[in-house]
Amino acid sequence: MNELKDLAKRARSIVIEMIGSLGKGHIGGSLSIVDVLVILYYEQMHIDPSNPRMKNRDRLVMSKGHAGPALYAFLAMKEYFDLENITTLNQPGTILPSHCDMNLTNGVDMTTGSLGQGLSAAVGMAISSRVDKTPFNVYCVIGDGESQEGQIWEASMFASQMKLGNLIVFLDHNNLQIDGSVEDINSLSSPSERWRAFGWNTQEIDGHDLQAINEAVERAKRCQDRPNLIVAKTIKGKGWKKIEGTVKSHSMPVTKEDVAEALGGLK
Amino acid sequence: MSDTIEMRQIFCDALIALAEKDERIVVLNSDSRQISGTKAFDDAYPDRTLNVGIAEANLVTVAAGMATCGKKPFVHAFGPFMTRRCFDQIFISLALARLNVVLVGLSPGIMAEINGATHQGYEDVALMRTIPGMTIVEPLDGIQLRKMIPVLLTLPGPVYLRYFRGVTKDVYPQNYEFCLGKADVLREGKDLSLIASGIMLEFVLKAANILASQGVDARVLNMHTIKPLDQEAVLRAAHETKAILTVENHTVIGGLGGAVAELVCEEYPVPVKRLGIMDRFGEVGNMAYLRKTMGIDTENIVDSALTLVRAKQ
Repeated sequence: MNELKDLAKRARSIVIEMIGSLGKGHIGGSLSIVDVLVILYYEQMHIDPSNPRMKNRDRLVMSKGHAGPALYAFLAMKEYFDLENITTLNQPGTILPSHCDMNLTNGVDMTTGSLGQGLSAAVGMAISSRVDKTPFNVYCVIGDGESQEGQIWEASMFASQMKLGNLIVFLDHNNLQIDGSVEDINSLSSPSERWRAFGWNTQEIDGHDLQAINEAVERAKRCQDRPNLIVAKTIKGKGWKKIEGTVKSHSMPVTKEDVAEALGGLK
Repeated sequence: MSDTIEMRQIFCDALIALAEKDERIVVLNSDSRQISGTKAFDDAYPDRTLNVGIAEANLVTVAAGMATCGKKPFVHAFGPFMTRRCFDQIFISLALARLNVVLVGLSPGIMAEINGATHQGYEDVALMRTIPGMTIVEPLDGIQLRKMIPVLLTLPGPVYLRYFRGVTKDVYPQNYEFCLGKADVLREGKDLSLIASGIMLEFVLKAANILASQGVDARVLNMHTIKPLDQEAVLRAAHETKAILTVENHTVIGGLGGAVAELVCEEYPVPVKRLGIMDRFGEVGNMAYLRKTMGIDTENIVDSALTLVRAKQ
């Protein structure tokens, strides 16, 4: 676990440098999902960076597409592309637009950014695995603000109807969105109950506890007759103390001084 | 041969035949299986069909996810719900993602008849035209539809196929070869050009006959591919006939007429008249009533053509 903690720190430092090189960006929701991604990329997903289109690879759909920087940190660490690219985030001609684009970035499985759509795409992938009799798991990360989109619930109903045991969804439950707290704006209270009512196998964990995340995925993999939701209770901006749990961290300016301070705090 | 067979049956039979050789083909419905007439496909390939229920946004994006895994989905819904209901899903998850999914818009425009304003989508082509990389096709008869389908599977991005699911008269011979993006000249002529697609061509051809009896020699183009538009055929029509009348089962804003007018205005201005649905909503009625009410019947095509030819002189 110590090695995984170091990898999570490294990913956070890459996210901070990436967004710092641009001077602004979606840093809060990128940092909140890092610990989930470290488990997926280093412990759980069946992938081969040298063969990114491998037919039976596990898929990851970042449905909360603005968290692209978090995904890119891991893709760079896994050498899907050269780490040097991180300083080109959102620069003209970049392979790293902050919202995920499967045609621009090696290792990205689905184009996302218009909230609510990625989960449906993940459902389509999970169904394809069954149609092709090619077993693989599909992981999907959705946001709690994103869950205000009706399409999330269309996808949720249908995944349950199809009994997609190979679909494992993480809800990045940091309880913040652009205009304030999810609870105040359009509450997603008791998400586990809601998803259970939709026919899903649900778990709730501390989304920054690496061991808990790993165990939750293991349990989800054993549940083959229903789709799986793991509610990851997270802190927006996790790892950069100054912005943790703040509304403004959704998308904010990040200066060179901020980067130095944030990186210092990670050490 | 297909004069007595519904277009949807021809479509389904063609899919079944193709699916036998091409295991990538899957069929998705949104509680639209009865309407799309694809039940026989479901029976033939029960593992390659989905019915997501009444949820078009999910329908389109599930298809996108399947396409990322190499599938070739044919997706069905009523025309307006296939397009305006899930425009963003088509724009982002299909077009930006560059995924080859065929969206089948059933009963567009006046074909929705007594379902009225809610189901008479007159804007589907205009919406789809604004999406980069989108291909838009509308077949005239069963032969063209059958020849068209395999070509649609070879494209790098999404396709919008709008078509009439009922019985049509055969216009093309059995040995017809479909060429995407290349308009078919159904009738040569020098006095003006009539450009249309799908169900409107029956009335355009009738109008051309009436015009001929009045000494007006009308060229008729079947613009079966509305995007990408056959610019060469349109500009040749402008050069050679010096007047163009477009006829469409669609709003005059942004559809076939819009596409033709934009091109002709910029490249070789000649008089252009667009016949189609004016800036209004639909209403209940059968197709004959709606053609008359909306001004896209044979009589109005003839009158508009004569006015246009006179203006040219």
